[in-house]
This record gives sequence, structure tokens and C-alpha cells, in this order.
Amino acid sequence: MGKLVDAFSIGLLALSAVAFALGVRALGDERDLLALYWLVAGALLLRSATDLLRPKPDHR
Amino acid sequence: MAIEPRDAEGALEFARRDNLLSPGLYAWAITVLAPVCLRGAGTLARVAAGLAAVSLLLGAVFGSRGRGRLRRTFGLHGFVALSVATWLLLGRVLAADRLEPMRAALGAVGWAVFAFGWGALRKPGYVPEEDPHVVAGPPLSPRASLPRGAVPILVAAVGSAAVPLGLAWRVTRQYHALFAHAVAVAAAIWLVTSAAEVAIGRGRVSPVAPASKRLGQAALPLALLAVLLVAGIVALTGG
Repeated sequence: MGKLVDAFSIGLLALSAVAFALGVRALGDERDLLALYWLVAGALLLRSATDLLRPKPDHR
Repeated sequence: MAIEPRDAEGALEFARRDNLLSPGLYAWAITVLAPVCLRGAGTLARVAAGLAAVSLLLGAVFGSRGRGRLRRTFGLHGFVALSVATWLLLGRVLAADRLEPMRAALGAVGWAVFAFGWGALRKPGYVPEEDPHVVAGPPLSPRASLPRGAVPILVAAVGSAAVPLGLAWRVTRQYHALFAHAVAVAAAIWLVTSAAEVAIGRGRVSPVAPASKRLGQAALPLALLAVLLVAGIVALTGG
């Protein structure tokens, strides 16, 4: 299961790179709303990818 | 044939001066000289541009031993300040819509190489291990090895980070172009930083935290992502 989460994290990282590229490309195509959509998606994908790995202390 | 210490010192001094002068002159020619040669450039801007070149040359002249402060004052502070003053004095001549992207990119490379030129050079024949301050003993071995696939992940991320940087040049609208470049740079930095975390973090965390806990850590961004995905599908099917 741990390896699956690792692979999921790498997949999210790859998708975030694609999302950022699509966001900047949409800006070039003058499709601002779509650009915003992809940029926010890229940010969330990247955040998810690192949150899956980052150890967080237990709050007891 | 052994190299005389005096020759070695001379070669080092020449390399030090050349490292400062060549990239500096290149950056100056592309980003300072070229715009002041355009029609509409003021006399004050041209004088400032000339003084910038003189300051750089003085910095190289003061490159010899014991004059490091003068070298830095003229070669770095004076040169950069006078170049900036030239750009400010140029005003509309240097407006964003009149810039040539290729020349701007080459100029940026020139300034980056100029910054690297200020790095220290190792003396010829100098062996770090023979330094009197060296900590003696066997070489320190790393406490852990990199997880499998760490290097390919990082290489792929660096390659992917370059894509938005290149695509940003496609944006032609003035303010949007600025925004696109800012976003592309931020995305590139964030991608590489996150990829480094992902690349080395896999081996470290997996034996400690169970998979369910790790998924729980990313619950918020994943939930927001799901909302965004649904919104996208709705917009796609509805519109």
C-alpha cells in the first residue's frame, strides 16, 4: 500500500507539471478562465503530491 | 614541465580578470549599449552607459591582489548601479513593448554569467585536503543512500519546469505576459522543490507513516482537487 501511495504521489507530481504547462499555454491562447483553472489545479496537485510524503507530527 | 608559481599566479589573475570582464562587457553591450544607440536615447543615459563600461574596466584593472574592495566597488557596485541608472534614464526607449525577446533573453544570460564570474577560483595546484584547517580522518560516508528512481524523478521535474518557462514567451498581451512569466518562474521553482521532496522523501517516510495516514495528510488538497475536477466536468458538459 505504501508503494502505491508513492506511485500516486509521483503521478500527482507529473500531472501538476502538465497542469502548469496547460495553464501558461491557455494564457497565451487568451483563455484566462481556463488558465486560472489549470494553474489552481497544478497548485493543488503539487500540494497533494508533497503532503502525501511529508511527515507531520502527531498532536496529542 | 613544471609550472612556475609566478606563471601560475599570473594565469590565475588573468582568468580572474577575464571572468569579470568578458561576461560584463557582453551583458553591457547587449543590454546597455544597444538601447543607448537607439534613436531617442538621451545624452545623460549615454554618459551613464559610458561610465558603466569605464567602471567595469576599472574593476578589472584593480583585480590584482590586495585591492579586492576597489575591484568590487568599481567592477560590481559601480557597474551595476550605472547600468541601472542608464535604464532608468532611457525611459520610454526601454519600454516593454519595444524590447526584442531574443536580445532580452541573451542579455539575461549575460548578466547571469557575469554573476558567476564573481565566484572564487581555486589556485593552481591547490589540494583542499592539504589545507592546514582540514579535519583529518577517513572520508565521511553518507548516512543513507538515495531511494531508487530519485535522480530520474528530479531530472524529469527539471525538464517539466522548463516547459511553462518556454510557453510563457507565447503570451503576447502586455500585462498577461508579465503574469505568465511570474507564474512560470514560480511554478518551475515549486515543481523542482517538490520533486526533490518527493524524490528523496519516499524511502524516508514510508516505513514510518502508514499509507492511510499519508492519504489523510493530503486530504484537504485532494478534496479541493476533486471539487475543481467536478467543476471542470460540469463546465465542460454544461457549456
